[in-house]
Amino acid sequence: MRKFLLLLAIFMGFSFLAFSQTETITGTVLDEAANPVPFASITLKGSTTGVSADADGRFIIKASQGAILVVSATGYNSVEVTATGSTLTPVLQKGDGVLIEEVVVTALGVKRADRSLGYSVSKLDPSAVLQKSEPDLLKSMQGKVPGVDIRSSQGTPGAGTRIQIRGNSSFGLESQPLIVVDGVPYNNDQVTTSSQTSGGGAYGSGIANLDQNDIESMNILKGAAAAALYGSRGSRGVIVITTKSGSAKKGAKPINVSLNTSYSLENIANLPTYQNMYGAGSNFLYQNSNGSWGPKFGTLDSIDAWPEYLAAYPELFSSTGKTPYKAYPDNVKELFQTGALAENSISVNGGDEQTTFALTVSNVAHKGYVENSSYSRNNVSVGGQTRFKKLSIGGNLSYMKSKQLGGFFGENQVDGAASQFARSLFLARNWDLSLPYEDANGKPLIPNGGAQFDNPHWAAYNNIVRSDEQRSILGVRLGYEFNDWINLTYNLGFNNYQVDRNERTQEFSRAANGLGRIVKDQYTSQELESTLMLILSPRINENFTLDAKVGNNINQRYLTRETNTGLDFIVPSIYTLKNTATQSFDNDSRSKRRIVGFFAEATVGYNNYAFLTITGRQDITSTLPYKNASYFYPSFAGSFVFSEALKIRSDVFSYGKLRLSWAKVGNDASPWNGEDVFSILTNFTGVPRASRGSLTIDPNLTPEFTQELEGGFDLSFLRKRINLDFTAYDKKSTNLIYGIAIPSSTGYSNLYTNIGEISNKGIEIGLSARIIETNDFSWDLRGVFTKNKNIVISLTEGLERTPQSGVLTEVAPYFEPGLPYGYIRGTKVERDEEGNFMINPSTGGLLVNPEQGMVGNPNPDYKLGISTGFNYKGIFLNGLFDYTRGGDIYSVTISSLLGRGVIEDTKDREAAFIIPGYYADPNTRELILDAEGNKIPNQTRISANDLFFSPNPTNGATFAINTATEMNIYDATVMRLRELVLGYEIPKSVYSKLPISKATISFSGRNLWYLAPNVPKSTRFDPEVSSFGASAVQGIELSAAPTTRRFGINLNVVF
Amino acid sequence: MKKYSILTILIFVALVFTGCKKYLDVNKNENDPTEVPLSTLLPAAQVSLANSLAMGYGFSNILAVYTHQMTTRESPDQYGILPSEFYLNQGWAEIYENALADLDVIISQGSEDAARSDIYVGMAKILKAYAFSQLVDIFGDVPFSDFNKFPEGVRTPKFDGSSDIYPTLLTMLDEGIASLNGTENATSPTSDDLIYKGDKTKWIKAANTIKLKLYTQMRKVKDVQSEVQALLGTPANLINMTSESFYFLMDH
Repeated sequence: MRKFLLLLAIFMGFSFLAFSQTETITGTVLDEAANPVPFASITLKGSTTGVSADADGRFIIKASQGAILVVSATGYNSVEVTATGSTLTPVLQKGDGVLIEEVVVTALGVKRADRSLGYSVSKLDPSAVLQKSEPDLLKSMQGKVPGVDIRSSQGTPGAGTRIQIRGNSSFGLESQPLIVVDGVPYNNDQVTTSSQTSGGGAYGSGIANLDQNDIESMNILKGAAAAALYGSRGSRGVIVITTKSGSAKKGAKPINVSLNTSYSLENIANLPTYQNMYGAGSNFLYQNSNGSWGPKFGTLDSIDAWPEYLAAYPELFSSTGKTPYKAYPDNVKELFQTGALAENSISVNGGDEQTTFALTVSNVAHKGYVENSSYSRNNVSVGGQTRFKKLSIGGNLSYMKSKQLGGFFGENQVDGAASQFARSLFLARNWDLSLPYEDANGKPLIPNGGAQFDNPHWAAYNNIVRSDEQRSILGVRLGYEFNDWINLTYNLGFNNYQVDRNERTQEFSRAANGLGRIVKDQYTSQELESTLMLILSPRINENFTLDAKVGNNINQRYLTRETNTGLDFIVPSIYTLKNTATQSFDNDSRSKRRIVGFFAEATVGYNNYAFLTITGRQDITSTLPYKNASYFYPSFAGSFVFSEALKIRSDVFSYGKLRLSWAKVGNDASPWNGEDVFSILTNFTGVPRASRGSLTIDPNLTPEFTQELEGGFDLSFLRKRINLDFTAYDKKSTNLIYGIAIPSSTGYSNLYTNIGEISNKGIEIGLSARIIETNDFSWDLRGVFTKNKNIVISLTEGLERTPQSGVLTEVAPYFEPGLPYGYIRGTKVERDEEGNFMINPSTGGLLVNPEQGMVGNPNPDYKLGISTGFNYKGIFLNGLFDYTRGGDIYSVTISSLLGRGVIEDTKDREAAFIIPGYYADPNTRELILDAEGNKIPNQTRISANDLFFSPNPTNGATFAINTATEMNIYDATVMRLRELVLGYEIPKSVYSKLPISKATISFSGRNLWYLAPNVPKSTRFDPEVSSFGASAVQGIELSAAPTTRRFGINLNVVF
Repeated sequence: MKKYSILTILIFVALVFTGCKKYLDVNKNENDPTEVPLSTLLPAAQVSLANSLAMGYGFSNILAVYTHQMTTRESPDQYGILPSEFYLNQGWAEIYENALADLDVIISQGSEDAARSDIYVGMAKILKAYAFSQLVDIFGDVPFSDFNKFPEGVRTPKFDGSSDIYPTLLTMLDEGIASLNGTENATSPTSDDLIYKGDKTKWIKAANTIKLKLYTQMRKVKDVQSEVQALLGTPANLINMTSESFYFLMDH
């Protein structure tokens, strides 16, 4: 507190009298031919504040009469114009662009000149995420921003996406970035109703419902220094989004209308290459089993008809009760359909000098390639702003409603789980799934019976996860200009988000003991954010500038959750809790948290080439013990435009800036974890019970802190045709809060306390180049590179490791000092000191060590995105290629494809196999040596069947099913042609008689090609899937739905 | 103009700070209670104790497999037992984190108001002694004196010798009997005592019978003849009818 007051006093200490009238000036930036220059930046000379023009060159700026405005744009010489009157039409001449002033939206929505920033901020043009056959904002950002790691999950509509900036910086608390839309915080939470291991949906994540069409600008603040003013949640990076409705612009005409419409078709992108030579059975003998290790087709005429089908539909089979033994080559392909994605949006904006408004209405309708899977979304956003002399008032309202339908996913062997993909990709090659999928009573039918899995057709229409989401946003902004250097702004935002989920498991399913189950989950999150800020930009002298801010921020988050389960339907087909025999209350909770923060920032500029920014923030939180609830954290950032300071600018070297920053950001605990509690148990024979909770809370919890040192440079060459930005950072997060296991003999199972440290180190590179530019033709190339190393440094004394999340006994992610964040832990096979396999002489298989260890690291080594664009007389071709190097994935899909013998890789099976290795004693686990003391090479032959399906999981393990975890870990390296767009800007002459000012048509392709070089070839497995959605658990795939490929046509018309 | 605005802000800041403490005092968990009646803890502890020992759920499961009462896919089927055995871990966690933890709450919470809660405290002590005797019988040395000392800073309770634990359990049983015989007008459990429905006499008989069992267990390391004879001398003080059995039905 004292520190804060001190800062406040320093800022208040400046006494400058500079009264003058400021006015709103509008204008259009033009080139010599009187064509508008898009995205020019306009700044007040001698200050770091400014605005940027829109795509049509239009801008609005507040300046006093007589003030000097600096107008600049890429590829043009900048000009200085004097503010006179209420409109301006600066004209730029082509040139080397000496004083390029990129304007960036920084923390708390304040626009600042890029040159004054001592940290890295990436700007993403909204057109980069529009009309790319992808309705999910995060997925459409993949490969476009350095330093950002975006991971998709299931390939079905509406499935969650995780975003991570500069790695994970917390064990248990949220570590996805904060997303701030028009000053209103959003989060990318995933509401998980049922375990995604044993049967949960492809749950969506919070940000997926944001309307891409309404985005005006997007800036990604990556480091702690950039985000320090946002407080606790800033340590994870911040994505600052301004919407069209939240920043209504006037436009060229009184009313401007723009229309976007797109239609895409989608297909499964990675169907494995199946072998169609062998059917069900084992070791070349027919059995009605899951695996296709049976006799060769043609060696056996017919088999007994599948019992369940025969009993239900005897008329479909011959009177002998036999069915031909033959391949159904397309039995998997036929489970899937062609999906479709329709996106429509209309945006309107307009107004006059004083008052502006904007409206965006959008709709997404997405039908997946999996039967009965869909996602639909409607967004309406409206906003406006007006001025009364010195007071400006703005507001926006938006409403979103979405509906997601889909099946259950999860591990296919867990008891009571009924994944829709349990066998979908691994059907025995002689199974005919086009037969009726249920009997007269609605009971599902499968070829091999025994409720081993639910028929996927039946599951699609009977086991359904439905999620209805609604989000309402209200934003109010007030601004008062005392004079041309003192501004007061107030921003109030309210975000109400609701998820209403309904999970239905039908009677006769393998899940819920075949009784039928309904789970209803209602989640509400209400967030209130209030920010009051005084902005001071006094004029000091010719050489120095000062911009300062002081403010207060109040945040409240209120969550409610109610989950109820009903088991055993009384009357069929009525899916209510009342219609079930037993009910249980799984969740009935609320929580509230508040934070009050005071912050200040000051930027001192020297001759417009050297800048120093200092910030401080004092937070007081409700979630920590009162003695530790108040904490302060500072940041320092400096930038130095050496090309100007040293006057080394030339035709070759256009611009050079160095950046250096250090910041510390605090983070609080999760709410309502302040004291030990009792839990109310279910009644026992009518007697109420309560038990002491097994979680105990450290009464001395302290805040988590993240400290980050970041340095980098921005360079431009050849009149800014080539731009390079480079950033390196070292981030250390300490006092991290987590619940750890403690001995039961303490009377508790878990302790919630500060336990350890995480380090993230990495580099980010962005490169853009206009390689060719003539009047008719241009060629652009852009590359982004992201490398982050995320290591756990230490855990509390006595704690060797702690699980991140329970998945399966044989595989789970863990935290352990010195090892990567969330490394995959499981069993390994025994090896000798040279790394050779130890072989059990009696089985010819591998020995498995029952002790678990690290078997994989889910964090990629680096990510690379390369995009290129060609434009020839209005015809354009844009492509995005990306490459993820490294990162491991535990794949049940690959394990099952190999183990069930269904793919080409397992077709060569007539010979016997010998696993390379040396004999070892299965009891002592030591090598067996011959008389001369030499190792004895393995000579025990095994069949192809046994090679992929272990005959003895502990003492005769092999390579796919029933083996050590490590055998099912694969390198997730993947390269991909993610986007390809071919478009044409239709010449005005075509529609000169229509009230249209611009029309563009384009064809888009998504995920057209990919290659994962280190997975078995015929699995065609795409490692860009995972089973835990937007959660922090990555690198584990338990029969996930594969990715999609889409082709679309898009039309954009501006009226 | 300037002075005015600065003053406004300073006043505002001051106001916000004074209101802060109250505004931020919202961390009380409203979902779960921080104190519950003894009548809810006793049945919870009894069910947890039963679960930790019972077949199909806790320790006895392994013995049930050994004696061919049940079969399982796991190692006990081959007369092997690993430290990672599910039922072993399940039973261990259940007895310490739930059964014994709740019994300790009854003892500490009840002792603050002995006049009203003595009967609950007595039953809890008898159950606690019984629970620890079972742990010693299964494992030998187990954490005992350091149990539930987490608030005092004991993060890793030490294992006490079984020969040190047993005598303390006998004292604990005597204390339990004393508590039951103590206050005349203490509240007696009814249906919330799943075992004896609040019948003090039966509880005392059970406590004596447990003592008899503990002495029998100790007979090879200590001469317990006189203690055993004393207990057998008054058979009416021991369980001697089916209706007095120390058990309850797990039906729903």
